[in-house]
Amino acid sequence: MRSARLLRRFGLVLVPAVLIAAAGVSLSGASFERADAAFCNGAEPSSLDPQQGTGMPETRLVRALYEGLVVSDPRTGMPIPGMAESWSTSADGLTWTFRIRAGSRWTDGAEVTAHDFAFAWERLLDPRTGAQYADLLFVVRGARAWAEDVGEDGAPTRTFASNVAITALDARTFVVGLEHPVDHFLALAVAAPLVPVSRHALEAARARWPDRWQVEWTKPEHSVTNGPFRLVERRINDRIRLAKHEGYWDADEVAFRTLDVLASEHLATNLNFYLTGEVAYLDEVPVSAIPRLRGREDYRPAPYLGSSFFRVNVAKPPLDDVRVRRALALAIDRQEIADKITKAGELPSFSLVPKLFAGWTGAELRRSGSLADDLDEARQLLTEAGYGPTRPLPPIELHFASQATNKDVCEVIADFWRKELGITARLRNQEWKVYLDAQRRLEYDISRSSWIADFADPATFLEVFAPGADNSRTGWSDARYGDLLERARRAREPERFAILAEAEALLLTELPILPVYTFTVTSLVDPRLGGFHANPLDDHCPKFWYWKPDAELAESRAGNDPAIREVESHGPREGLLSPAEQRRRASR
Amino acid sequence: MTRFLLRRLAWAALTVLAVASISFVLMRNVRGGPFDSERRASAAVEKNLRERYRLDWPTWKQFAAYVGPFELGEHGPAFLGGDGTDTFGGVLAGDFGPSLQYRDASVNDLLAQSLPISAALGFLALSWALAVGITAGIVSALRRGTTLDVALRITATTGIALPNFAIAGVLVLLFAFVWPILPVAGHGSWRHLVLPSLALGAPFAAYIARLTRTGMLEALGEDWIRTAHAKGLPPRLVVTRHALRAGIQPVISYLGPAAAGVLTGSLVIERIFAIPGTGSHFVNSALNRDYALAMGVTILYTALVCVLNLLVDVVQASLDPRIALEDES
Amino acid sequence: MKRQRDDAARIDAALASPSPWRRAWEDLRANRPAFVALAFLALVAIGSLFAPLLPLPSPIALDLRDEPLAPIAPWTSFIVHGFEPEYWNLSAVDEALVALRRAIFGDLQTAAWLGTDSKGRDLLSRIVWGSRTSLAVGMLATLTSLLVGVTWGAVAGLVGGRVDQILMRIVDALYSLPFIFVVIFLITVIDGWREELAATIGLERESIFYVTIGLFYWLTMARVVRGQVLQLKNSEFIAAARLAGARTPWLVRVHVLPNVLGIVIVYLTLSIPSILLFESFLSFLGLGIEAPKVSWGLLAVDGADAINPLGLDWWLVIGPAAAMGSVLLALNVLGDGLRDALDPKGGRG
Repeated sequence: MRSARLLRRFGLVLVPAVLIAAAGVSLSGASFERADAAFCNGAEPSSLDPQQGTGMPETRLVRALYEGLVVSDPRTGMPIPGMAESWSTSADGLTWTFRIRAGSRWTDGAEVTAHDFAFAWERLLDPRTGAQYADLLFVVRGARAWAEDVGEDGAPTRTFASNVAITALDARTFVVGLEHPVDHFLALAVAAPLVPVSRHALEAARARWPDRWQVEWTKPEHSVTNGPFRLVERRINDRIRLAKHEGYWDADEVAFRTLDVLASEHLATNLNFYLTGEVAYLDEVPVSAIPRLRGREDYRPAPYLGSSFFRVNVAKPPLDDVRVRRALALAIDRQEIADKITKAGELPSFSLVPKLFAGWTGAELRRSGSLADDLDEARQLLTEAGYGPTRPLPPIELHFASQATNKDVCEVIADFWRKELGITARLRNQEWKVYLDAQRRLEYDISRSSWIADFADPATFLEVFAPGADNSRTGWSDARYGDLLERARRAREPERFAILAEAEALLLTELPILPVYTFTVTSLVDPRLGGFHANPLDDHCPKFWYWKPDAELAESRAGNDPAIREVESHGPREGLLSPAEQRRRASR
Repeated sequence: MTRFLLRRLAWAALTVLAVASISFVLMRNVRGGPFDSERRASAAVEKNLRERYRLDWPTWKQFAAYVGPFELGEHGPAFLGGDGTDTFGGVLAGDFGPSLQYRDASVNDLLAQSLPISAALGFLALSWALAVGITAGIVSALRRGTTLDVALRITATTGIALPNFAIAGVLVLLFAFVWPILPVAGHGSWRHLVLPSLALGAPFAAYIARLTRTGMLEALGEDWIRTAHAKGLPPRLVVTRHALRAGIQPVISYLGPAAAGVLTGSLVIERIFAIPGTGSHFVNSALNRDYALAMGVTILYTALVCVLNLLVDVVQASLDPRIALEDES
Repeated sequence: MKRQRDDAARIDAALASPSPWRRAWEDLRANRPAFVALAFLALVAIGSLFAPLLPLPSPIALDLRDEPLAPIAPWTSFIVHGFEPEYWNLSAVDEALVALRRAIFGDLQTAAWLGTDSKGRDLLSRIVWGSRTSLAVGMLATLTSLLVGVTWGAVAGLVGGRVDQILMRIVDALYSLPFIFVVIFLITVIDGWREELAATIGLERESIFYVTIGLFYWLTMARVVRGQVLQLKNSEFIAAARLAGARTPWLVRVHVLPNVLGIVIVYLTLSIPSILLFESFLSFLGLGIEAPKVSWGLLAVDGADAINPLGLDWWLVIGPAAAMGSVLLALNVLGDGLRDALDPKGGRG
């Protein structure tokens, strides 16, 4: 028993000691100085490799770390010069030539050249990179054919340089040749996966770590970026610390010296972070908090280029009858949903494409204009389709992924259909990945879905439902629709918008989708945070942000509606301006 | 003693292997894959991704490569058909592989970063749960039937009745907003761990109090306790040296499941307090179908539970000399 | 020969005691608090069972509003009109009860004595209806854990040796399985065959729930029982009884079982809340009971959402917490009472 006692004493001492040591280790490197500003980024980014990004968390980091040919003006949302100081288009609209500015450096000191852009765009198209957004560049001549012609080993069989119309003529000239004229090419070029990567840094990484370079080259100690900020430290699921990149061409206009990007998915926690001043900007608030946030000066809901709708499995009876689909589309109380469920002031929508593009009218679901009349029409349509008290419609399953508002919206709609149309609607809730899988295999009746614009053009919505498109997931394949889209691709403005509107009209007559509303992004922005402007893509670059000094804060508050409630700001009272802005204000 | 330890460690290894195999197969048969997303990649891209993570290999081969110790890919040792640049690979060579969800990180990195944090949180939660729970239980047992006993029991019940996320919400409201003395969430100093460990430990403190009370009451009623009193031993000695040892038995038995429960409860607490621990990896890897990370966390978890059980058995045996380490009857 | 038989009979008679079970019931009745707890639980069970009969609003009828309605005191508004019989798919018995309720109470329903949630659903009604789901989950899982766990642990403890090793290592292995995957796996597998299963055995997602929860809770029970059995096995009065010639089955029935039962019952009363919390935990992750059904776990999640610094809808927390708390308190008190009553040493000083 002596050995047992020894072991026990040893164990009872050793285990807590090890744990305390571990705690010590984990906490010692933990705290560092507060950054100038911080914001919540949602989930931990899956990758800091810009070509492999998939969602908003990755996009926001790319905006901070990299800069592409053009960036979005924070106020207007229009493309303004980024790495490209000027550009020109050929007369036929098929060739774009960009002049890359001189003097902008990577974080390792090398200059950013057109070769870096060519390298990055080739990388994006190459299937071996595993880029989800490779199709952004399928408008380039030869790109799609090159990317899809792969050999046994998964590599493209032909060379890039001689087959795809993307060339770096010299260090400062970048030329892109298109399949057909794309008037909105600049809007496309703003997209995050189109930023450059340092060719020499990546090739060095591949040589140094042939097996592990993907894991090594994005680490802070090896990371080479060209944007307003550089990577200092990355703590997974905690925060990413960024610091101002002095070699950036516009470094003088960047106000924050350090910036923290927090990874936290729980909305209530994020709200707490904001309310205690830990973060300056929050992009999503819990729905239950919205009624109490209304009227505060920092609550800024803004329309978003995202569409919420239901996919309909058009292959499955009774939904294969377009009259049934139309009846269901008419019998949704969109205003009620926007007011009472989502609460953020979403706009009820009768179309797929949000009405937020300049010059876009698009099409809408044909309806009477009053819900009561629409319901009458719906009932009539069901009778026409052969369903009534003697032959009721079979139960319809509303399929959705397990998230709070999804469930609520589907409950309300199911309830409404039951009351107004006498339809039995069941709810079917699935975990996210299973939900995607079921949608892909068309194992659903009606599935709650959404689509966010990849770039600022209506085609990004309409292309989703092209015949044979991977992302359609409705079983709907209409050759007329495909033709219209093809014509639109080759057309130039303003005919292009007209053709796309025609396509949308067809979509809204055949109804493989039931439109519901346009998203609103519910941001909370510290009143002292300057340089922040709402835009339909919710695309924000921290380069433009700064802290307003007291005088400016008072000035901006003076312009507010008197009904708006002021809230306390957690930013520095003296403000924090970029060096250039300081000089401008001092000289005034 | 050494034989006992070796035998238990062998069993632990076997358990880990069994759990790893079952989990490996289970994960790959759950619907939905790691690359499924709202906006699908093209077929060629997906094929490349699957190849990169060896998901196109037959399951047995994936498992063999995962376990190691030899690298089975094209860079493996010559006798397995590779080019010899990278002989070793797999868990037995210390490599848990690249994460499928976080493409910039290896599972080793992720676990090394998150484990000390979860360990610290769990340790803190259990420590104060034990301290408060055992004390409350002893007091309750000694003052049985009094108002204090009833009050303690009601508090304990409240601790068990509320889910830890509700307790967390109340704590945050009280100590980060009403009296703003602690940070609301996040990680960075010992102060960030106070509220999470309180929320995490509360239900266990309540359980431990109940178990201690019951165990103490049973022990206090035993004949040999009466003997001890009759012999004239001071009451405090009776309680601490004799009754406590026997009365704490159920608590020791409970430590195993309690530690496992702390690991479970930490999933929710880590999410609410934005703590970058292993718990969040556990949930997220399952929901994201990140097979490598999920396997890594599973293996770690299993090994931890086995070691904890071993410790619990040893402590139990040493506290109660009647229980031999190995049952030799 | 006859002398030996007589002796044996006399020893048996001396060692035998009056049935512990009858004595236990008497002790319990004498124990006031425990008896009150038992009565309370019986009341809750009956209320839960006859929920469709009570004049409560529908637990799922929506009345969309911006904010939840605060509780209305019963003396301000006791009964109102406007009952809408909306429920999920109910069994035939429940449908009959609903019909009976409409016959008796018409369209009268209680006012929102405990307030409503943000979709206008009455909280009192949701608590009562939620108790059905939650108590069913609790009881089924507990029964599973009792049957499987006690047997497993007792066998491991009594037999000992190699068998004990194997049984306990299996428990360890099962304990270490990543339960999240098992839950997702079971749920998605069943989802795939939902229609067929529903038609043949009436299995639905909820039943998977019960199975999964039962699968995890028997493990702890087995371990606790084994620990207790080991202690008892080596204790003196067992040794003494063996010396006196008592045989194992009799030992088990008269001595081991009542002693083990004590800790088992206390553990049961502790595991029901744990099961309910596990259910709420799964609901938090979105893997729990499906809408429109309601359970206390879902109510807990809704309640937790309501605790935020912008404004406290306290009733959404207090209501479910009070319900769960009082039931658990009653279970605990009853558990203590049962343990005291079943104690073969006849109560403590």
